[in-house]
Amino acid sequence: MSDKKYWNSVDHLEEEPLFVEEAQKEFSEAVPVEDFLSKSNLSDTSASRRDFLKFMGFSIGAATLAACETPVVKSIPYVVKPEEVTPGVANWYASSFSKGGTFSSILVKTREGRPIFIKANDAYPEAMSGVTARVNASVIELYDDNRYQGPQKAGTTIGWSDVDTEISKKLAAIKEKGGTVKVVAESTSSPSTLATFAKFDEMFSTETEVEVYGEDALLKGTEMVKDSCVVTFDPINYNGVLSANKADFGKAVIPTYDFSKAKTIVSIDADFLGDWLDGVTYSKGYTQRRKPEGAWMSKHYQFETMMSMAGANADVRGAIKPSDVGNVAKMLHGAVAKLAGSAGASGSLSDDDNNIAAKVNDAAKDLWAAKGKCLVVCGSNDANIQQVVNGINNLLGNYNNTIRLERAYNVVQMNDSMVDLTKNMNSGIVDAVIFMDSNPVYSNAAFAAAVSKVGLKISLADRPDESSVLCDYVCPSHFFLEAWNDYQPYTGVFTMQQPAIRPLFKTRAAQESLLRWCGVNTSYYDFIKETWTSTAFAGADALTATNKWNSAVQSGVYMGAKMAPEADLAYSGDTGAAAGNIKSTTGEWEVKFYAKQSIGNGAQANNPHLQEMPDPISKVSWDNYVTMNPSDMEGKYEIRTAQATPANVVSVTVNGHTMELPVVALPGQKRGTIGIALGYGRTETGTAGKVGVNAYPALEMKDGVAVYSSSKVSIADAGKTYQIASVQTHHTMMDRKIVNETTLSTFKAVDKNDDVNGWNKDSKLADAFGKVRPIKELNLWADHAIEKGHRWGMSIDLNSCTGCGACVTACHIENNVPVVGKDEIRRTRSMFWLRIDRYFSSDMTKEKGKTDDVGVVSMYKQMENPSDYPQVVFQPVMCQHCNHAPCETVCPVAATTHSEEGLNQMTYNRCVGTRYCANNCPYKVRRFNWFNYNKDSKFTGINPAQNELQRMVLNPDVVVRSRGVIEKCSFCVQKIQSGKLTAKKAGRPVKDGDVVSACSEACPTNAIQFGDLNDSKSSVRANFDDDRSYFMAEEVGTQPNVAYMTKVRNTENLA
Amino acid sequence: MHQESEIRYPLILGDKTYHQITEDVCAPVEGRANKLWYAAFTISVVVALWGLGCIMYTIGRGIGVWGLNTTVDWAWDITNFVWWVGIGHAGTLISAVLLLFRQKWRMAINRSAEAMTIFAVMMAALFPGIHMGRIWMAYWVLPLPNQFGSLWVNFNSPLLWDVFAISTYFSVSLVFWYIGLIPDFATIRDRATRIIPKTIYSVLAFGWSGKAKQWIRFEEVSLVLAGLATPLVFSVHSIVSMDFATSVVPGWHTTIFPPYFVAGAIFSGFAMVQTLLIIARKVVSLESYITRKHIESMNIVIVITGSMVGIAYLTELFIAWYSGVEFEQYAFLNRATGPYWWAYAMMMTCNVVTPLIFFVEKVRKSIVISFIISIFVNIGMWFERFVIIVTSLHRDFIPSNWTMFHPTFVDIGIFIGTIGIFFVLFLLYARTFPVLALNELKSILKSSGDNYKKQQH
Repeated sequence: MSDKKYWNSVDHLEEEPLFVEEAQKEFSEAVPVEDFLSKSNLSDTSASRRDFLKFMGFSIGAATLAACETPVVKSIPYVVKPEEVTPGVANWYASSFSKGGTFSSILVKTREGRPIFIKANDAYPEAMSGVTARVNASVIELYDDNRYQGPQKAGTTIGWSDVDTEISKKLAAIKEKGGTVKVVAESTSSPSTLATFAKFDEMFSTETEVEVYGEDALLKGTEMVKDSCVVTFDPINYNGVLSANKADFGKAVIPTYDFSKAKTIVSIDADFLGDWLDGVTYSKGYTQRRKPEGAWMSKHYQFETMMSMAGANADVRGAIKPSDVGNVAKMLHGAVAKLAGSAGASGSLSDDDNNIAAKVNDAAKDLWAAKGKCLVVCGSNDANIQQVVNGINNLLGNYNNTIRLERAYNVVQMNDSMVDLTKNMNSGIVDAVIFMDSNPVYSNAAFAAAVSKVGLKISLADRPDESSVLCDYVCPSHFFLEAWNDYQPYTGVFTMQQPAIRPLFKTRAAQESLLRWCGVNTSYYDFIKETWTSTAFAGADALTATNKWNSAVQSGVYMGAKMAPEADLAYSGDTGAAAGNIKSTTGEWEVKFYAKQSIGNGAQANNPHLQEMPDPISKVSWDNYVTMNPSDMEGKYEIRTAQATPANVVSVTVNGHTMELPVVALPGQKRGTIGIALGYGRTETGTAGKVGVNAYPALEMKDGVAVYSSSKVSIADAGKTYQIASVQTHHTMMDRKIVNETTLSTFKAVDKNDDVNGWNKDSKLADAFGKVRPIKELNLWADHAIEKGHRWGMSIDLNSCTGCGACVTACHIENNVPVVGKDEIRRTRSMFWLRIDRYFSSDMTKEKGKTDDVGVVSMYKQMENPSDYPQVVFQPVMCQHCNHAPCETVCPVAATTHSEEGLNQMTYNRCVGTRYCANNCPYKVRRFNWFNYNKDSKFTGINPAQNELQRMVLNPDVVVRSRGVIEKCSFCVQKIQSGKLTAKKAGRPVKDGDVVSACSEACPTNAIQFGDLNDSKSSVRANFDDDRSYFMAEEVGTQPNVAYMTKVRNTENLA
Repeated sequence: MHQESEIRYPLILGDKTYHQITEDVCAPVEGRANKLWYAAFTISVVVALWGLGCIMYTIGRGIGVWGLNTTVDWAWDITNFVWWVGIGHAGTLISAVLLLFRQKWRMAINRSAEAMTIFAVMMAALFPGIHMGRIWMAYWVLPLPNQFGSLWVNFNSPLLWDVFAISTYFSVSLVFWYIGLIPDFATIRDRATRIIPKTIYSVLAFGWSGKAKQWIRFEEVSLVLAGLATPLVFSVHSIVSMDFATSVVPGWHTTIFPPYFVAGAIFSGFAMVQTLLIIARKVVSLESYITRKHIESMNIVIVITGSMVGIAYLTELFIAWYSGVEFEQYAFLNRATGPYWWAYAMMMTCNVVTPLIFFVEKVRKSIVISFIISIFVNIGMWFERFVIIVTSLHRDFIPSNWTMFHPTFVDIGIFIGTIGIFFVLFLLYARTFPVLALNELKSILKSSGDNYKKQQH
């Protein structure tokens, strides 16, 4: 600091007294403010014109400023920063998802305390680790503002202590008089939940007198049997498999099916890649052996009614009626037994228009050739059919090889008879019913009719459903991301469910509620710990137990002791008797009820992401419908439904229940059958969930539980039309090399560039001088400098892609892709950054057109129609990040440009929205923000970004796009950046696996690989260099950074 | 003085004198409008307001109120744009190219044709604006110095070329039109009695006093501007066609587009001039000036350009087949036989087949048939653009994207609305501007006037 002093006048320098006095005044002249502002002597003021103007100027200025409202941002800084939370850095917590028969061990991504993304837990055994769309999309359900925000009594808010007192009193009264309390609960594999049930049973179970018969069938007397309070009820049950195993092995379990060991796979109406049991695990095992480069590639036969995901991926597929499932099982048993040299069951089909008999024989031959290394699964809920299938597997020696009973899949349990429960409710025996993770009023018609007879109804649901709205008390449980729990999905494999956020509302774990009501006042967390200490950690000292507990919580997984095959689980089935018991009644029409990959049993219906996710096969979103073979619709119903050609509505009566549903053409559906998805038609849920028609009331009950097919069907035209929202309105590939396909034998024997049979020829074109050159050399533009540094690329193995759609929802959640609703989808305006194209094969090909000489116009017309029983291919399509991107050259404002790392970048705030780029994109992956999805009233209740609470799920790393700009896949650029940053902080180069896009991360079958193409060791580089890789529409010269890998089917020829 | 053979059809019918020409042309400006004009004006205003309402709705809510989708990202918007630009071609062609070629018959029609050009280009320019998702950022397509750092427009983009082409064409056309108007404004000014019109026309007349020196300069400027405008006639639509030709979309990616589009533009421009003038000559009684001869001349241009367009259509088909590219082959097959076959049939019939009857002399001299055919061509040329844009986009490379386009009431409203705005402007023009280049006409009265031709005997 210098001591220099500056003076601004001589008076200042000399410090004249007058100057000093003046300098201390704020205003050099007297300002008559006081006079002017005081009311008393206002008339005496001598405010000058200047003053008046000053006051006026000030007043106007002040008034204007006051009128401008500063936007209020309600953010509260951490006073004390939690140790583990760093703003901008994500925390991952291991947890579990178990709902609706789906189980996943998961990692939950939280940002600033908010869970925003779910992916598979890599600490969980690799063979089973994966998420489905329902799992990764479930994160937005946490923020559903439709959830119960606290306990309710008859619709009004009540405190927890009051509700506990009242319920305890009522339950005590019931216990006093020896009444019955029933807990209707979903199947659970949770040891602590089961322990809770045991505690509850201790308190409330009743005893019934049962007559006991001796071996001579004479009445010996009576015995008191404890009748559990818990009624296991799943909307979609698997009692067929469980009962068959109980009969054949003495244990009602779902075994572990190991598809990775099966050289021949025969599935009879089981969509094991989709919604059947543990689909993710099966997909993983299955796709492991679908790689043509491997030592062997499995051969997959599928016999089924409707085109399922498994059917779409099958090598040989046969369409059968639901009533013929048993017959196919019998035929297969007979054929296998014949090869084994013994007599087996025999059956014949009521209707065979798809060469089933021959296919069954082929299947039997292939099964026999792979004895002990094959697998037969069946989706029927008839125990007799399942026993025949068990018989086949036993003949083939698959037990303890591909099927292991000792490691049971516990997520699905034997369901109790709803018929008995309903009967008891109607007769007034049941005094109280508690709903836990179950909604029988919606999914069981008889129950719904009887529920009013029950005196005390309590729901533990976390959000309103059809059952909870009828309840006297609602004691909402936490959402699973807020709650502690434990699971044992497979025997010996334990997982933890760890909360990733504090409960948003005044909720309480359902188990804790039950415990409280039977007098146990511990928290559920303590209860779980107790359970574990007494079981899994039994015998361990406190310190070891704590360590084990902590590591289990941290990794989310605890592996129990390794199990040896149980000797006592020997096969003792009687196939002959079972086969004799199979009754198949055919009908003019038959129906198969199924669960969609997206909606499942309907519990997650109010999830807009899941509603918008199209069905993998039909590609229809936001509805359920009747699926029908196009040949059955010919001349009666609209086959090619689109925006201007709405679907026809039919009135379907199944088992006496009539529903009006639109009818949608589904090639591959057995002629004379229809399919209807369950899980729709929810009435007591949020805006997004109230779509479609509830098909549960049409289900027939057999042995107390529902069966999912029927022959008592009649269909009539309702004379109405209905708008269907389909994301794809053209279903065939028009014989273009969009999905490149070949057979295993061709793949093995023929060079890919072979002149005649080359199955993946390099694209070449003649240049202006007639010289044939690789496409890459024919350039108008200079190459981007992409050979240095990183060059991000993606490879998609079409052999591994099952079409499940987990990548689609993962992409949407990661990138804040707006949900646009049915009407917009119907107008072909989905916002999917990543879509899965599904193509059916057609009877007409260019080759056939030439040989049959049908004429080019007619040939192309016929190509538009899928075969009645087609083959199916799936192709995930996202921005191909072309190195010569047609979109980049046409943007007038340079809003889309190429990065030095090979990315095709979209600068939203530079975009003016001419949509020229979208027109010029050969892949049509660019999406335009037609509306302001975040504000426009059309999307209220659908688009999560519109809701204060749901907005919390948005990824803070990705901007929410405004109206009028183009958006598209960015290769998850935010993840690339963070991956690079992590590597940089660690002071090392980026490794393969540091950067993984959301879709790649979500893909349970590793079909999508992401990485650096300039890294010679990356898996994506290896895939690019593979013989199978090709680029979509490469002839256009786009030079994409996404390579597809030729689909190879294990068949003789491609249909 | 210029002599013209008497066998040539006179360009001014009736025994017109210089004074009568002045009277005839000034009559609509000085007199009161008839009921027909008011009726037409009212309808046009209503339609224009409806269109403006639709535009405001679009800007207020988003492009989603149109029928576009992720596969067909342009449809009626760009169809209308190209259609209006095409219509805007005749004016400059008539005034500039025909001036250079010394075609005297242009004098009766060039003023209205140019007015039509100006208004049509205004309508055309509207669409690239409102079709933008963020019209409030539309100025970003101009290469303006800015505060965004080094952000500049993308000179590779044909849309940017469009911006330059259209704006240049519009300014040159406007200047050319205005220069031509100056002597005629002066005439009206001199005849005006009321103070307000007199003042306005005085300003518009730009101090014209009719001196020989001014006439010399007038002629020189006209010639220079004609020279400048002539290449523009060809460049504008060539550049518009490059929006499509430089893309990769099958059906767009075609080297024939520039000449084909120019021919089409002249074709549609003349058809629109025909439509307007056949009405105008009746409404403002200009039968003596816009004669059958004029109509026939325009019909000849229509049949020639129409045939060129027809050849272009056939060439496209041939090249698609000859290219051996399956996407290209299918694109054209789909145009003719796919779900939009009716649009293609409409285009073929209106643009190629019906104008062919103009090869019959009697027909091309028939005013009624000329009018009908001109309407056909207007419709056909709209469909041509629709066919090019929508049928190429709706089924391109990847079949999973294939879909249809369905216009909404907003799409239709905006299109009809621009026709309304166009007619509002044209009707106002007809009442306030000299609809014929009266001073120029006078220069040919003694060579091509009916009465003077008779006197030569």
